[in-house]
Amino acid sequence: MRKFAKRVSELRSARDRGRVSKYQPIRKKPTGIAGFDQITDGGLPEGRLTVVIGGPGMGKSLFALQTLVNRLRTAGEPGLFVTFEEPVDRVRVNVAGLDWAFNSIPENRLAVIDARLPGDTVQAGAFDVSGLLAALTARKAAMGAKNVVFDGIDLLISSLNDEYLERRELARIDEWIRAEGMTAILTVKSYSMSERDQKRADLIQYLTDCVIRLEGRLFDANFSRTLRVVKYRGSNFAPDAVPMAIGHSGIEVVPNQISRDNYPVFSERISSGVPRLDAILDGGFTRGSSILLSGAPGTAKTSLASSLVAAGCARGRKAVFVSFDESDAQIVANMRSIGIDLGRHVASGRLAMMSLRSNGHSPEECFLNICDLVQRHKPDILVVDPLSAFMETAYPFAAVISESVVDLAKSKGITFLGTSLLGQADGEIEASAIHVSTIADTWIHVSYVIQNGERNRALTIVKSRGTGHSNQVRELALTDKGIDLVDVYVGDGKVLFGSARLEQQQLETRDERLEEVQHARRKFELGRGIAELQGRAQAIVQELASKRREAELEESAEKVRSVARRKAITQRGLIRRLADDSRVHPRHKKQRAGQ
Amino acid sequence: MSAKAPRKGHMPVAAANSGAKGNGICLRLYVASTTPNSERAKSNLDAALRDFSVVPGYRVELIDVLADAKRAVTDNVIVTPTLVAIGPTRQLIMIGDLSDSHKLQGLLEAAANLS
Repeated sequence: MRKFAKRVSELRSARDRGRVSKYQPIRKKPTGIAGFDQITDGGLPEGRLTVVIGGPGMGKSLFALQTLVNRLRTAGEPGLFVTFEEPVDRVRVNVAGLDWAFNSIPENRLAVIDARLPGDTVQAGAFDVSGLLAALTARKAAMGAKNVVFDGIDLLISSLNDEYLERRELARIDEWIRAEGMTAILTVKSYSMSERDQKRADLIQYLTDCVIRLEGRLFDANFSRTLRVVKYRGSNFAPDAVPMAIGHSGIEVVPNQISRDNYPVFSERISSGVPRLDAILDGGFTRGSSILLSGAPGTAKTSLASSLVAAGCARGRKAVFVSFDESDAQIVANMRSIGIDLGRHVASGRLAMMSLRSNGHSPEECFLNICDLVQRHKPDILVVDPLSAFMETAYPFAAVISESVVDLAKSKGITFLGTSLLGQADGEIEASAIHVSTIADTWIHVSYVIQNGERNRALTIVKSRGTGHSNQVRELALTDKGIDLVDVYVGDGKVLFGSARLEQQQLETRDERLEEVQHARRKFELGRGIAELQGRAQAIVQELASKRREAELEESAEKVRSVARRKAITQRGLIRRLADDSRVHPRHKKQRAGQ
Repeated sequence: MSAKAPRKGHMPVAAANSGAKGNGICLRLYVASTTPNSERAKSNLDAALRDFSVVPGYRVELIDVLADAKRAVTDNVIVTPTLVAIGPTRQLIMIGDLSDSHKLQGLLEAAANLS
């Protein structure tokens, strides 16, 4: 028994070894829709069936046709587009407005094949798609097609009206593409959703290797498109719905996987255009970093952004200024009034301005417009004013898109400045600041400070990664010569702005003057006192000296006098002895001589 | 979905390719070789033509798109089997294995009026 079990396990492992070598992992074909290729880690499964399901107008045909065009343009692979619903003319008209130059593609490179049954066709019994596949085989052989799209295949096979027969035809198509080595996309509608339609959709999903669902939903009055990979056999994929937009280049998918690595890193500093701001930022913004500028309406966010742009352009850098709901001309005029000349840089071609409407455009569409301009203009500085325009809509991907804009800039080493409109903040940073603040390198907040019936702008650097920066609140002053930062009055336990600061400063100045005068007077008086005392001291010293002199003279006079007296006494004595000697005994005379 | 059993003793469609040229009505049947649907369509058409002599002068043309894929391209064949009744000015199209004899009869009657 044990021997038998061993044998079984040997056989199994041999079989498994065989499987490893026999089955290759699936290969993928990029669709050329960058975001889609990113979330599927390479594109569609090569040599397999992919089904795109969605309601009408969701872009199923566009997705399929765009893939064919991209495969032709990038890999030189001819393609077949089989339309079951729309006439060839309409397919061509539908994409004529896009920048694909679709109608210049020769028929032998990308064939659009009408597979609609004539309108008066009567169905009498079961049929199969062998005829179509035979025709496609012939066309494939003639033009070397590698990819095929069956657009609206459900319209044809649903007329079989039998689950088994439908499944058989789908299997026939699957068999055909595998035999012919074709990569196929089937588009299937999902709007009617009767029980049978649901079954068919389920069946198609079951039969195919990759299922993509395109959806659209209204959020308030805002229409948001999404793309979701529902299934992908043999491959990992991001299963979340990602935002999608249809622009003049066709479908674009905005993946919400932000890499956040491989960003170019710079140590260079670039000027904000406000010298004092550069100073407190320890030399300016770091090149390639992202800056969030938040504040209430009218807190000079646009002015600060323009200042950065103007300073950059003046150094010969290129910039893109994206605004919402305000015309370029209006911004240029507004900035001129505070001495920032943007018009000059627009004229020189360094500055590209774009005004977007936040209403009626999804953030995805706005993002793609920004991407497009960034690709064309290749700026060093990108300003989006306000970045929070996205957040004011009900679109579900606003936060993701905001991040994507920052990511776009960072990935290209572009210095990014986004402004964010925050509600009236009383000098405090609101906790509900937009999500971007977490990925912004520098966050500057400008708030209003109301004091003594006056509003003033207070600028704070909330954070600044990797650079030293001041933690002081500054007053932001707008003059006709530009923007300046002024130190606020801090003292006496008070922080004062604007005219209150000026007043306080004047008050201080006046007090100081008074103090100075008083000091001078006191100093003068003291000086005089000292001088007087010094004079007196000098007089005393002189008197002392003269007294000393007098005393010395007295002393010396006394000496002279005493000497003179002694002399006089001696002389007197001598004189008296002489007189005595003349009368004393000669013996006394002798005695005195011996002394 | 019940296909009619082929009847015995009729002229097979395949043999009718070079049939009598009458008033120019052509019954063209596109098939995919001998796949079940195509086989059923051939025999159903045979049976109908024998049972209902409603088209006074016609010819039957049989085209195998698997053998002649170019023809499938030029004639834009989408499904097989497809029966096309071609008159001088317009044509009638029927798809399927022709198992619905009422519909087939209707087509043949209409085809008679094409001329």
